[in-house]
Amino acid sequence: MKRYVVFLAILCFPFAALGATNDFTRTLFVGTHGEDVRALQKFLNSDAQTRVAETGAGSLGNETDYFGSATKRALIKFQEKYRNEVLIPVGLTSGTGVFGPKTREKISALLTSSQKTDATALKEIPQITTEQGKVYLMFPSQYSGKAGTMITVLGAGFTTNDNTIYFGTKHAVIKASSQSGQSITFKIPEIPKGLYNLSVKNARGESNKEQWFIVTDGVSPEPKIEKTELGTVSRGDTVVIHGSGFLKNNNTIMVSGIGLFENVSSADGTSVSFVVPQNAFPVKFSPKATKQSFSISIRVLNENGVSNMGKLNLAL
Amino acid sequence: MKALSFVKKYKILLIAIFLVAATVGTLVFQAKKSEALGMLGFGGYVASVTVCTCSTLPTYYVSLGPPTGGEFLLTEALSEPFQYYDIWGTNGSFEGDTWVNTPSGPWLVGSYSTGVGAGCMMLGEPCYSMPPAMGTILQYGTSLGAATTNI
Repeated sequence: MKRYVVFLAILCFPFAALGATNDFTRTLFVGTHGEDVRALQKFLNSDAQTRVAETGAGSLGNETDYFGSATKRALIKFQEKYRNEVLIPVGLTSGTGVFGPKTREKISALLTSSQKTDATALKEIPQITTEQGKVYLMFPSQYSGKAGTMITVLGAGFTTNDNTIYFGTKHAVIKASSQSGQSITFKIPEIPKGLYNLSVKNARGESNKEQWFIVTDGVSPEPKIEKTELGTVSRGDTVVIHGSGFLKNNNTIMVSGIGLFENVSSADGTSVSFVVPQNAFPVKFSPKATKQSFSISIRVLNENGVSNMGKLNLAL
Repeated sequence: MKALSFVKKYKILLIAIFLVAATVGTLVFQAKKSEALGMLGFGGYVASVTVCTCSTLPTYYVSLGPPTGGEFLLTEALSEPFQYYDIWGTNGSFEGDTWVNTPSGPWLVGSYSTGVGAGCMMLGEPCYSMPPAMGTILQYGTSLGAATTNI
């Protein structure tokens, strides 16, 4: 009988292992061990605002299965970022660092939504072939971060170990390696904060230079859009974006499919606005088209970073 | 009778073999399913996006530059975004139903298939079809548009 029990236990092991570690089913807190802790750390590391650690154990790519004080701190940042959904419904205003039902619900919802942005997703793309002598820099895993943060850039034509990543013309990361030829992970160098054009140079050639990155000081708050669903508007309407981290002057509002609104002021640091141009999306749909509007993505950027995405519906 | 006594004798072992085979078979099937869908990689900067104004489902005819460029269909119901989802960028303008990026738009990279999706229909009397695209985008990531007009 004992032999059968042991045999069945061994048999069940692969099914337990196949069970997705992204299924969060238990409460996690300081001292907990498990693969779900590792999955939680990976999730927290996918957002620059909630990183568990910048280097070493718990940092991006070095997640562990132990829930320690660093994980707790990162979780508190996450809970306070999504305060309205995670804390306020249970009568709290400050993060607790305990991965309970409300936090679990929010993270599970984010994981199953289409808004995944972790660097792991970049590695799943089938191989892109390039001609000899061509190097392409397509986009970074994030567009702002402080010195020492690990980021990944995706492109094509990267060489195994002699890529130089330029931040502007005066600063560079040398001898960056790429296993796949399509992504390079490296640490942001210790350079002054500011907006830099990115490019890559290696033995194959030099890449395009229009991609950009904002090096932050890690102290000043990055712009953030609080209410990400901005509603439905028409041409000529004024759109007010509420959030935080907006500067008195020199904010830029990026409105996809329309353009840039530069040098935007914010009197109180919590709102910026723009007017939808009359010639925005001058398209006429057939009456049989199921959707007669456009979803437009919006971000706010300034010298302290780039905000999360806001979404607007433009009715035609 | 012999078969029955064989099964009875080795019941546990047979169940184990069946379960392991089912697991492995499922994994192999998933891999084959990806191959069968013909998922191919693409990547290039977005030169233009034409809104398919007579397609029933929201569909865009995206023209990409190198390295792996060409014309692709992006249908909201089928194409899953995984990064930034900004196919338009911020330094272009509309010419009719087509958003044209100058000098180049955001980067678009992902996987596409030649075996799914309908074409791109444009409003007209009657509606007409755009030239066949290379395929329908299944997953895609984009860069963000330009951050400044001083590129």
